[in-house]
Amino acid sequence: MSVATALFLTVACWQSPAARDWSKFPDWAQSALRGFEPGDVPEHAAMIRLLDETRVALRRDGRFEQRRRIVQYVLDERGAEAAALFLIDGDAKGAKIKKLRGWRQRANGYFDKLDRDNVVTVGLSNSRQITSGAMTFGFFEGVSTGAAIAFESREIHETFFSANVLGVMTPFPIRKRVIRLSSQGDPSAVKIIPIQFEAWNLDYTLAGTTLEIRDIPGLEQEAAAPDFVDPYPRVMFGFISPSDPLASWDNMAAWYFRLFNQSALGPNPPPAGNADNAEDLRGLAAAVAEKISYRQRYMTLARGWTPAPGATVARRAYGDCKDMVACLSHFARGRNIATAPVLASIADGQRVSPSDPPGPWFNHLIAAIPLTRALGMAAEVDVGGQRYLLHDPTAKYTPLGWMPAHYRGRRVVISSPEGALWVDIPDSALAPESLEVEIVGMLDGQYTLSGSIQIVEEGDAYFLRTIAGDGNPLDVEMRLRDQFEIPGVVDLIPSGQKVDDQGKLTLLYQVKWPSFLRRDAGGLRPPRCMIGTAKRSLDPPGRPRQNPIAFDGAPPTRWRLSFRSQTPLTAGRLAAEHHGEHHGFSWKVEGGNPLTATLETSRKAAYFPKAQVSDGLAYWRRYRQAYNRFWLDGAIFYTQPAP
Amino acid sequence: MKTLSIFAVVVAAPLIHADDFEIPFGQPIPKEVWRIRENPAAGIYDAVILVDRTQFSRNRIQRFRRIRILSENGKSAADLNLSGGVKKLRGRVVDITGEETRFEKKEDLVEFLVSKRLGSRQSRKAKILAPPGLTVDCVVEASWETPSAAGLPLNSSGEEYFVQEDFFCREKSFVITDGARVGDNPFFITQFTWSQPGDSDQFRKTRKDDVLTISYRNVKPSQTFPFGQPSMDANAFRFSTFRTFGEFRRQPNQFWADYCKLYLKKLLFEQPMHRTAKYKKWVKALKAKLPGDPLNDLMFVYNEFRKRIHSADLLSPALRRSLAEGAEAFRDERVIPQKAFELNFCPTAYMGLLFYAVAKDAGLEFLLVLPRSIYDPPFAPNAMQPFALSYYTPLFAVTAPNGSLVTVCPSFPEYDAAYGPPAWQGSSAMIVDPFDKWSHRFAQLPRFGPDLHTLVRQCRMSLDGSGELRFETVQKGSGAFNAEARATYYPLTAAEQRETLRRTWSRGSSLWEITHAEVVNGSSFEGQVESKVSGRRVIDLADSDWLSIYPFPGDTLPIATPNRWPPNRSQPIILPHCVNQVDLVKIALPPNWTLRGDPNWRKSNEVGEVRFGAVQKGSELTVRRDIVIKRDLLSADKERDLKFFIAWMEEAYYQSIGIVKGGG
Repeated sequence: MSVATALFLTVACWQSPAARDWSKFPDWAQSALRGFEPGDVPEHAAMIRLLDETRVALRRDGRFEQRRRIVQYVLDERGAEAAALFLIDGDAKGAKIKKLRGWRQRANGYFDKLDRDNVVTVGLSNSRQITSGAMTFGFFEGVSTGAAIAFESREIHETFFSANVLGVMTPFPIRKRVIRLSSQGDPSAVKIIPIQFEAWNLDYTLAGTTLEIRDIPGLEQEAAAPDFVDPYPRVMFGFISPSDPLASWDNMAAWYFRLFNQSALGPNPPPAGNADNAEDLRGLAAAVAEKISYRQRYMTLARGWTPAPGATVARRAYGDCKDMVACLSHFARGRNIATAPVLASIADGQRVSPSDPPGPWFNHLIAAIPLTRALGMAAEVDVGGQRYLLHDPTAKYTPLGWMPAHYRGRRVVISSPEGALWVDIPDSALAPESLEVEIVGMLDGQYTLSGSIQIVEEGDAYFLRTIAGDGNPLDVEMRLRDQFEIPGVVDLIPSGQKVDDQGKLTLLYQVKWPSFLRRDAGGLRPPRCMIGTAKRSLDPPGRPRQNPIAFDGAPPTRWRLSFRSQTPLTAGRLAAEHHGEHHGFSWKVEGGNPLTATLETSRKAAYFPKAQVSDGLAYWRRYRQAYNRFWLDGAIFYTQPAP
Repeated sequence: MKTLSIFAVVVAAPLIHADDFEIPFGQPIPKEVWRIRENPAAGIYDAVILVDRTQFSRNRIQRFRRIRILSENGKSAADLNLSGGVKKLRGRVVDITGEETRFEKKEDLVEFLVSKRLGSRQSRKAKILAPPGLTVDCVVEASWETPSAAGLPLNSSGEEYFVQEDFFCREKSFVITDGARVGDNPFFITQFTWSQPGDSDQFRKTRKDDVLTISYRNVKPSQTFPFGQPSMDANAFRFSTFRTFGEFRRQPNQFWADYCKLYLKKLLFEQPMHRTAKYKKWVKALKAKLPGDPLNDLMFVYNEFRKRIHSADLLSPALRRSLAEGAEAFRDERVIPQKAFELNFCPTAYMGLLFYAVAKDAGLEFLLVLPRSIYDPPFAPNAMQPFALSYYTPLFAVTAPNGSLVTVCPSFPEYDAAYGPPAWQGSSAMIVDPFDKWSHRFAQLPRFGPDLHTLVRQCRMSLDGSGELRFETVQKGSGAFNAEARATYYPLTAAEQRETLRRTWSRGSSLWEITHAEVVNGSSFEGQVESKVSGRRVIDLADSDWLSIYPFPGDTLPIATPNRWPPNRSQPIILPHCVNQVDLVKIALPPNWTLRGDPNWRKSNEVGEVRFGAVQKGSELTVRRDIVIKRDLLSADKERDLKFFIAWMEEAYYQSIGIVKGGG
């Protein structure tokens, strides 16, 4: 701690917390606050939660009663906003807040209680997502260093599943976290399962249905931290009887098969068989793609899992993923073709695997169409003695027979009456993706480029194909700017757009780009969209890295600049390359004036779990050093021979 | 600045009741509608509003829309956010084969929670119409009505209807009956005004059966232009309804004369107010210290006033909250002086009234300046919109010896005397002389140049042989920059000021460890607010024989760098204000490190100038960056200049300095 920081803390916290009078707080908060000394906490913490207690009881009416108590202390101003706020997530209709109280004592001893005017519920609807979802928050104003704050709530929640998951780590440390479960029904149904606790060396005890975790470190914000939940500690809890859908993955899949079909197709759907004609299936997929727009509409909790009837979706002409699968199934039945719902998890969702405790961990639904024979499409899979074609109706611009590339490394569950059919999405099923950008033009004396830019996107990696298909030219241009950091001041005048038979999109613009080469480090630097910035270290200064490492993948990309310059230029380096296991680049400069520079990059997704973080750091150091050396004195031009 | 719109007004010309209109819902879709295709060059993409009709009558406002959808994105044109008592909703989606899907209110009009507050137990809900059966090639029709009082939605005193939408509009009509004008309160009548395009083919005004119809045709989609002013868009038209005084004379000059004498004087500034002994004593003491000339008297009173009476906007949130109940008392304007001098504060909306009383009681003679924000539609005296001017937040002015007006702005006391919010500079204002029978005139307020909005950051930096880079910087500004700093820091305690400054830097520049942060003059109206920050970071010297260093830690750009500039700009450019920003850093380099290459450059155009220069003397490297915005009001055709200027500004912002070990 620096002298200035120490001085600041001395002034702000003029009275040690241990010496303060906490008697105006409720007993449970007093217990947490008593004896607390800010010096006991990790050095960089801005706030500490001294107690975080959640009690969940399953009521006889099937609803959860949840009681929460938290006590926290603001160590410096960075923690003030987080400490001031208490959130209750839920459904505007299904979550009843029976009690929400708060107490606050400032550093100078001033004490107040949560004002009812500072408890606000906000609906989460917008025109694309019509939902009964809502967020309630209680907050104190003017919270600053040295404040102690306690909140207590009692909430009754409607539930669709009798299980849930709670994250354990937050950006600030937690001294004591307690989760207690109880049930007014069968006590043996109560389940509480810590996940990933060992990997993070958490100090915990699980006694019966009470879990207590001590001294949970704050979660550090670190570059290349995974954006998915799998590596992080969490607690699954539930009230799961042997007949519950969540008793096993097979239970869940069979249950969902019934639920989906009853809702999507009604109680007595016409019989259907396996498909054996690719053209029929293309027509089916095209019918859904043409007629149904993606739009969410959840006005009940159950709608999170239950699709709207296929016929209703067809009438509305909009729906979410499961509605689109319902509509596909409805149309398929009209052609005597069967379908099965496939549970998936994409984007930041958990990478669900059969070894995980069964639970509602999926965030997406796609379709599987049983086939009588191989139809020669990439997204066909054999499982359980049956061949299926997988299809995601929300991926409008991924041709039938392929899966969007973001399914790489994912596992999905085909729901069947018999149970779960787990499928690893093979890389060969993924639609090919690549990007090529070519900039050609003339540079004037101020390094303004006049010329053209051509972008060729294969697949829908950057959603250019989707946006070009759905929207107007301005939206495509905006997407280009956002994705590739093309500054707003660059004039992009559309001069051509086409999609070839393979779905490859070509965009052509006339371009006027002021400060195309910008002065930097004594030379002239190409635009950031091409060469990015110097890579930053993943090693936090002065402490070991805490998070696992996850590198995002990206399609192979090639940038090619070809320009004539009013002032002749030389390149910092004529050639450079590096090809690591996951990242690679290749730089080549040819000609004089005109001059052509080509940069090819590749980036494969990679994941280094906690136990392999040192390998990930070592890997990144090698790549970073190679790239930064190139970036610093290679990816730069000079008006005279390179120094 | 070119404006193609002129204002027209309809007032009390009596029309016969004609409350029931024929809504063309359900009529056959003309065949030519199906031939409409996207034509981005003409502004036709995604969807076309074929017909949009708003019909005003005494107790209801009827709406009818017919829309042609042309793309997936265009489906959003059919979304309707409806709130209030929507009645008689009907709708249908028709495709080219004539197949029709009807809306069902229960199924397709979905109500959802917007917000609720536990304290008030009141919920705000809204409804969204999600039309069923939309395709990328269909026509959607909807009609509905909402209750109204004299042409205005219930509990509203005015409404603006923008003719432009996100989609090309073939025809938008406003239909007015006499019943739409008269309410229950005889003191007010409802007035309708509209802007009229220069192109007569785009506009039609018709009277039929005593119903007045205002129609716009072929209106291009609205665009959000950076630094734009939608109300001055050559393609934008507005239709407004508002309440006005029924008893005022109807000729503009007479109207505004009545407004000054009957409204400003009688009902606002000269209304009876209770002056307590405390108030009188303070004003008497003030009067005794007046310097003795009108200009200095006004500035003296202003400075004493803002020190004595705290503006609600410059109070800490907690204090403002604790005074909330007291603020309610100000609604009875007769007690403003009494309450203000009891509580030592005054809500922003009443600062003007209070300052008027103080200045007048102190014996000053001054002009009242009622401004209009430069971001609002230009003031149109002929529209006789009585609430178009900022009469509750007036400026007070005297004429300086050189003939110019010098103003003070008690509603926004973060601005020093002779400054004032840039939003009011360069706009039209009404100048009222309370000491000359409340006579009035209209004038344009001057706009300040770059030398009155300066920001100077001076920094010392040192790099030692171990790679530790340290800096100390001092920042201060004038004009809008100083007002912004004062508004940020004045409500805070000294400790909070330090933390706010530290937090701002920490968030803006994660590379640096901030070791010291201090605000000088943050709690005072005297002098310029200064922020002093020190920090450090360690850079890796071992790995390279040369380095690039960003020389200006914690710097900011004076204007935003927008990412979207729609083509064919049709609005003038309004930058927040002119700027003269200087960043100066002196870097002490380790022995044998020298500047690499030639980083010096300078670019300028009509908007302004950007300069970047570095010079090394011995081991001291001096780097200076100047960003000057010379003109902040520009016509649309200067957009290219502005974009180039922003590109240079960003170039200078991101420019690092290369230093090399052992020689240049």
